[in-house]
Amino acid sequence: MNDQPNDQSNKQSSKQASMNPTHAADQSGLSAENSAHLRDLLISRVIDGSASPEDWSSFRILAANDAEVWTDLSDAQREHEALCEVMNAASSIADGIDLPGGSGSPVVFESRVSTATRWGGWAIAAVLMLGWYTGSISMSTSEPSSGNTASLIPINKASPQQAMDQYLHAGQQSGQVIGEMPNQIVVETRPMIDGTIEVTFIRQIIERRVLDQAYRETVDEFGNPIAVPVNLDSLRKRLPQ
Amino acid sequence: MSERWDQTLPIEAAIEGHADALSQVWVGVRRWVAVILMAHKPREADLEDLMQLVALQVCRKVHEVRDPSLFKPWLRTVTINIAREQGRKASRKRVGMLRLVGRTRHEANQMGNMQLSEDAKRVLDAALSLPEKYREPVLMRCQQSMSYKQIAEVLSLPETTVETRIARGRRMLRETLDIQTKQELEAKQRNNQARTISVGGAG
Repeated sequence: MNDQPNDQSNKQSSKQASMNPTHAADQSGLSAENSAHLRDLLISRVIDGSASPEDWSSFRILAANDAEVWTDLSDAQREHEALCEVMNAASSIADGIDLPGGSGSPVVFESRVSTATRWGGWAIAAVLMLGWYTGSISMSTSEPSSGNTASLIPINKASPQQAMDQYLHAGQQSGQVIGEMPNQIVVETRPMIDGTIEVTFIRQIIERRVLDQAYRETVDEFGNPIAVPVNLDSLRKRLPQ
Repeated sequence: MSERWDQTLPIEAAIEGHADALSQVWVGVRRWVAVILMAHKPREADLEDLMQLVALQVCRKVHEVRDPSLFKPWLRTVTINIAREQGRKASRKRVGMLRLVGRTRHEANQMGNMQLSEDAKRVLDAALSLPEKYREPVLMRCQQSMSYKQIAEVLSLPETTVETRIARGRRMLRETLDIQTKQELEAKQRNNQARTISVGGAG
């Protein structure tokens, strides 16, 4: 479909028509396509609240000859309002998104992001491989220090939050846990019948391991996942001296 | 800070690396970024996730914009690319996470985390089926702060073309919904007839 208001052959009159439908409607010999276009424009301008007195006169003449234009107008108005509801919801979400990095310079931020991107892949691969070889990341290696045993609650009597706090505390003391990211990733939000909301989310704990061997996940010629040892010596050579 | 579209956004200063100016520009444009994402993202992709990716990309790449007048078309292109590429990845990731907690994609809200009326969901579905060149201006016009002129600026089109696309897009939307309503009515009538025959046969 042509983007322009009308076809090329009557470009001049189309320009006038798009800017002034009333004037155009008064002209004789308008094609069916032009009439439909003017009808669409008038309905659209009424919905947008941008119709001029001339547009309204034109709309009245149109409606006198074709009562269906009122139905079209009411349908178009209802659809516009429904879409406005969607866009208002989208705007509410947009209003909550600020730029990352707070007031830091974008240039500095760019450098931080590049560093994270360069090493982030390796960090993720290392954690994945660790998970693969140990089955799951175990908490048993993080022995709590004896100095804090007074605050410990036996794991079978602790609430999930208390157990989590103990894990974080012990992990931080041993150096295995760096911390927890302040933001949780929301997987799903569901309104419940009793008026509450169920939120399913992911808590992100940052852990640290020192490895003397790493593996890269790849696929063999049959597409099966395989682990290939990484030459740590070659990585070491790339580090700045 | 004003959330409405502002012609006096300090785009030049933002490009030069002034963080406060960049924040101000972002606040001025983030609503229409959301509209562009809505027009191009996969339905199940989360708008908030994609907004964060666009914000990150703005921080990383804004200094590459050579001319302040090209900022808005540049941002639109960045946003569309993220909606298409990252949206697919994000929606796959989301489905994976839902599976992790024992939920299927169909159980999840198809519009991300938005709470919408049934009518709004139905009209949005129809709007998303419009050809791209009509879909985007129609949705932008529903963002109350955007005039035809402002939409034209973002889309790099003449104002008259934008107005024409919005008017035609609205008509196409109306026709799509009319067809849907007729099909639903016909299906209901067929079901009723089948039930009547079935009851008559049983009697």
